[in-house]
Formats: sequence, structure tokens, C-alpha cells
Amino acid sequence: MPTSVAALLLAALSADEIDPSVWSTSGQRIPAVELPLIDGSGTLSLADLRGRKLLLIQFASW
Amino acid sequence: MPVWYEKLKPFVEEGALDIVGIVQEQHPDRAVLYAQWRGFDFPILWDPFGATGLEVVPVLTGIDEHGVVRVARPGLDRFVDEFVAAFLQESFEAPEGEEPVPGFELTRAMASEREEPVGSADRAIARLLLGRSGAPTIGADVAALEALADVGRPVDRFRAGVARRLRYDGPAASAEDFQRAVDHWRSALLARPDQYIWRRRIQQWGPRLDKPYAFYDWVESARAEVEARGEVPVEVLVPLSGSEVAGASQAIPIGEEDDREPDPTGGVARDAGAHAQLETAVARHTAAAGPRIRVPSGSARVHVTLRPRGPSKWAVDADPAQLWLELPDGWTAERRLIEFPAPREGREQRPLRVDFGVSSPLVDLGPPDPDAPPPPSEATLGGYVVYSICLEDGTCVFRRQDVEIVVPLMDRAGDGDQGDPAGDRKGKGDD
Repeated sequence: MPTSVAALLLAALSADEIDPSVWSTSGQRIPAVELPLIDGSGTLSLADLRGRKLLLIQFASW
Repeated sequence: MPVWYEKLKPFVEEGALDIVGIVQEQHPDRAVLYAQWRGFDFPILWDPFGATGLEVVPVLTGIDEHGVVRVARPGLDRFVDEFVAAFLQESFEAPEGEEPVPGFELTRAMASEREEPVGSADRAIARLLLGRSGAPTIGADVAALEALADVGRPVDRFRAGVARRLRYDGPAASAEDFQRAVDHWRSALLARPDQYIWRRRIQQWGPRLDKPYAFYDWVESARAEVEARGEVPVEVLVPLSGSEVAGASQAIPIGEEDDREPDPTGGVARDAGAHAQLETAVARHTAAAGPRIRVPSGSARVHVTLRPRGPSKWAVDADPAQLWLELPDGWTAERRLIEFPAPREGREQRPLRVDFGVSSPLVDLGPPDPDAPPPPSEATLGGYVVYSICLEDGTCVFRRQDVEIVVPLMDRAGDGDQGDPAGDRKGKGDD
């Protein structure tokens, strides 16, 4: 199979890349996101916070 | 504590609001110190692989109790008023029917049953997020992400780079990990030059001429202020490199010219890598990371790592290890003699690292001359390192390893064009 065809097939299959506009488009449901806490003390799923309003701050310390 | 957080904290305490942060940085420990310094006691998540898909930070999102975005990117200047008035005081109805788009769920990724190599890449990312540089499966995880990077999207190449750098920071590092990380990031950026977060990942270790600002120059003052409050500052586990604290500069600061070569006759016994592993990585100016951009010079930051092998340890009471640099004609470097930081007691088996800026001669950017020979695609800087190292039987020896540092001067044809299904998406880079 040509490499480019393989790449396209894999792209269709591969780990989902979230469209960043979802975080800044009013009316959009946020995607399911579960990640570790920075201090390694566990994980948190944003879905577990349903039922309360949430301010999500995506930033960098640099 | 910032004013905005002071104003919102009462809403958190009365149960009307949750605040969650997400950082995209390679090293989470720095964000832990930052949070301690700024008094952020809300949960902050670590997303070095870019699972949220962001291309730029910061992004602030007000999300209602149904998981729907209601306030997006409020400006910090009017943030609190707008946020409280338009969002916190309002009730929202649950939307009907529409399902959320798929995202990244760590627990689900760990159990991924998706087809290979995608499924193994999902699991690899999850395991690396949990185990970090010490993940017991890190060899297989890096291999899984490399396999996808070879044929996948730019984001897969970026993620393979993140995995490589993670391994570089841990005990299972291979000699080429850091360079491969930088190469992957560069390849990804070539395909998506407006990806601000990917560009920053390279600039973090890149030349000062390419820095918009110092990345982690706040660390020292944060430590001091935390200590002044009577707290113990969180330890920064991965030492800050010179490039991470250096600020922007229009020229390489040239050091003293009286540097004396440590082994001019070549008499020091060679270590062929039995006692210490010598690693180099070069992060180039990202201005070259665009398909139609030419750069006037090969401004780059060179990173050299010396890692004791097996039971070998650094001699703490000896002179620090040194790097002597041989430069091709016309090249400049901050110094020709560069000293590694002295090993600290109790840390004699930790790697020693130095980094420094180099710049190639200026290249004439006039009209192409069809009769001229093609410009060189890379240059090789020579030199050697000398160091004292103690062997398993307690004997300490002085050794030398020669080094060759290859600095690419242009991207290879085809770099970054391995297919980008998302390539037509509008970027948000705000450089």
C-alpha cells in the first residue's frame, strides 16, 4: 500500500484531535477530557464536574 | 493571588463554581511551583501531548452545568464583570440531542481496543501521562508513538517528540532522545506553522534570537517569595536549562576570548562511552519552520548531556566537567570553553547538562544564482568533553570524549509534508 494511502487511513482511525474552536464557541458541548493532575496525585474528568458551572483556564506558566 | 481569582474564589467556596486549569507544558513540576507561588488551589491538569487540541494559550472558557460553552475567551481586563454578569448569574437549559465530540479520556485510553497502531498509541499516551519519565513501559510507549509518527498526522509527530523528551528526562534515556524530540516537533511545526504551542516547545530549548521572552525566569523569584511566606517551595524536578531562563536577544552574547583549551595535546585517555554517555541535541530557530521561509543564519541552541553509565558516578570533589568547542570558519558561540555545573553530593549519578548558542555565518539572501553551488545543508561543530568520573570500585579517573555536533542549516525536502488532514483548519496563533 502506498505510504500516502496508509497515512490517510491511519489519520481516519487515529487518536482524535479535538478541534480547538470547541473551547471558544458558545453553545458547543465540551469534549470528554480526563487528564492527570500536575502534582501526580490522581486524574480528573471534566465530565465529573457536570451539575455546576465551570471556569476552565488553559494556560502555561511560561 | 491574582485579583481575578480573589474575586471568583467566594463563588467556588459557596459551591456555585468550579475552576479547573489545564497546562500544556512538557514539565508539570514547574506548573506545580507556579500554582503554589500564585496561590492557585484549584485542580490543574497536565496535557503535554495536546489532547485538548489547543493551538494557543491562554484560553478561558465558561462552561454551564450541562457541559456547554457559554462564555468564551473573555478578556482579562473585563473578565470578572463579564463572567459574573453573563454567566454565573444566569440559568441555562440543557441542550437536546447533541452529543459531545470525542475527546481524550485517560482511563478509556488505557483500555483502548482500537486498531493498531492507534490503539497502542492511545495506551502509550495514557501510560506516559501516569508514569511520566519513570513509566515502566516507557520503551514500548515511545516505540508505539514513533510508529504512528512515521505515517500519521503532524500531531502524532508532535506527540512522539513529547514522549522522547519525557524519556530523555528519566533513567531510561537513549542517546538520541532529545534530538529526536526536537526533530519531531520541528517536523510537526513545518506542517502546521501556526501552531503556537508547538512552536513554543521548540523555542523553550531554542536560541535566544528566537525567544519571545524568557520561559522560566520567574522560577527563582517564585521560590524566594514562597520561602518568604514560610512555605517550602515545590522542587523543580527537571533542572532548568540555560535556554529556558535566557531572555530574548538580538545577538549571541560572546564571552571572553581567553578560554584555554583543557586538553590541547589530546593526551587525556579516551572514554569510548563505557563510563559516560554523551548526548547532543540542536534546537534551531523556528523561523525556518515554514515551507516558504528562508533564514539568514543558522542560529541554534546546542544542548550537551553527560550521563553516567551503570554504576559510574561523578567525582564531586574534582573540577567540573568541561566542553571545548571547535568552530568552523565564520561561526560564533557564546564561549569555546563551557563548564558543566558541578555535581552535587547525593546526586552523583544524575546527568550533567550545558547548553549554549551558536550562529553560522550570514548567508547572502540575494536572487538565486543558478551557477552557484548549492549552500551546505548542515555544518559540523567539533570538540570534546573532559570529566572526572568514579568507577564501581571507587577509582576515579579523568577521561575525554570527542564530540561532533551536527547543525542542520535547512530543512530537508519533504520535512513536514507527510500529510495533514487538518491542514486546512484556520489557526489561532497570535504570535
